[in-house]
Amino acid sequence: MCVLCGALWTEQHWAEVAADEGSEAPDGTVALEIHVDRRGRRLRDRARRAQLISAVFAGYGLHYQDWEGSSYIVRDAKGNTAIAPDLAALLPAAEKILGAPLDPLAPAFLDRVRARTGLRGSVTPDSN
Amino acid sequence: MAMANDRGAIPILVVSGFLGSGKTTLLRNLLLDPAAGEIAVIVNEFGEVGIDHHLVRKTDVRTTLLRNGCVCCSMRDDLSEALRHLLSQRERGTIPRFGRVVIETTGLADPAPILHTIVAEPVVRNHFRVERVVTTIDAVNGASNLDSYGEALRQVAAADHLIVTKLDLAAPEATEDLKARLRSINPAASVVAASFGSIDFTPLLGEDAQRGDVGFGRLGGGDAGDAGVAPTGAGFPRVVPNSSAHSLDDGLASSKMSAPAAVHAMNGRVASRCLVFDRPLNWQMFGIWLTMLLHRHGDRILRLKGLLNVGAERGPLLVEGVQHVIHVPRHLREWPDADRRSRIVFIARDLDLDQVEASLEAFQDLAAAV
Repeated sequence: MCVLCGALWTEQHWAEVAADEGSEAPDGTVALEIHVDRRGRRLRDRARRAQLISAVFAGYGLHYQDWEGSSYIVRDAKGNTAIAPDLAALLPAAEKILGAPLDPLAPAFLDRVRARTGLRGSVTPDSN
Repeated sequence: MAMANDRGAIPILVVSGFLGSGKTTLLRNLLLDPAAGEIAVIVNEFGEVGIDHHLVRKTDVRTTLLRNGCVCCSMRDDLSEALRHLLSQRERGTIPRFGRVVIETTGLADPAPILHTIVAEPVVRNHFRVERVVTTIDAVNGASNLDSYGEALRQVAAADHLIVTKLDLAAPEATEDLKARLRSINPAASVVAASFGSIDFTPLLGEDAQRGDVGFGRLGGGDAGDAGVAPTGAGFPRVVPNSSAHSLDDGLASSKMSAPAAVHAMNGRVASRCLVFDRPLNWQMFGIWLTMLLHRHGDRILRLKGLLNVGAERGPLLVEGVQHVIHVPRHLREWPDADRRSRIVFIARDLDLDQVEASLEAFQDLAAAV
């Protein structure tokens, strides 16, 4: 638990570690200045990650939202909603709402992803 | 999905290998090697009566025997319990203060769940880290084991080091064929040969800067090389053939792997490929993509290992994983040479690596567009 943020972390997902984040001290403590700096950066990273996830999930017709920098909220157009603490938990939650697997290799899904980059056609969010 | 934590943790060497492939012989020699230092051993056995622990005489007092099964699934709790017990004994001073743990798995164990136990159990992961996976392969029966048993294949794919044993019993040509096959299955591993379990253990035990032929450690501890050399162009990505003459580590540390070619190393339905990306990768999108890929296809990705250029001023980001288990990405201090391209090796079973490549490319393009 971070006594400064009041957040309880049981596990940090590997993909949510900043690319150039250095190792903490062996005892796990972090200087206040470093913590404050990292916290701001983590929130910025998280906001950017939310933007990227939203872009990916749009290919499935799902809407994604970061909640207070501590949880992920995913919902579909019908209002079905799920909350997940991290990226790993987000995917099963999204699949449950979608009723289908999220397959990043599925050709139809990749076509929709490419469409968002302007490489091919237009965006047509729908199911997997 | 688990993440390993390696802050000041005790290294664990996992010794894997199919039944009768010489794991215990290797372990006995390792324990006799002065370079090994103080080691605690966890022996996992399949069967009613444990035998191997009687052979590991030097460390009887520090040997924990897990009975009746495979450590990869039913005995996973025992593994974490054994590690916690060792830690407790070490801290209380009831056993010598060992600096490394060796886990000898059963011949039928899939290493991935073992690694998962180490990196996922809350207490264990904060005190231990996976150092390396060493897999022994019998020069006489290794090829047929690979043909017949998925466990043998997964053990090879998960390894950092592959040690071909029982050379005295096999024809040299057969041994060379086996070594070539192993390199094609797992270009990320070094392949060495051993008679009677006798090898130079230094590469297995050294710290990052001393890993020698393991390569990734060399990348972390080596010279920066020509830091002024920029990525060579915007091409994205290049597919690089596996080399039968070099390990992945050789290749990752070398700028020679630049030929645009599309060659799969096929062993049955297992394929491996090294993808090379000229432009820096968006780390956050890479994390999203890989999380999705492993969530859906993790059981078919036997191994991945990569050096990523994420646009940081420092060295590359090292990403390693076995099936669903991803080690915490480590930012290496320096690049091994002037080559700044991202290089990622995938070893996959029943998975179209062309699609993997296309998917990563599409995700990265999306990151650049939003």
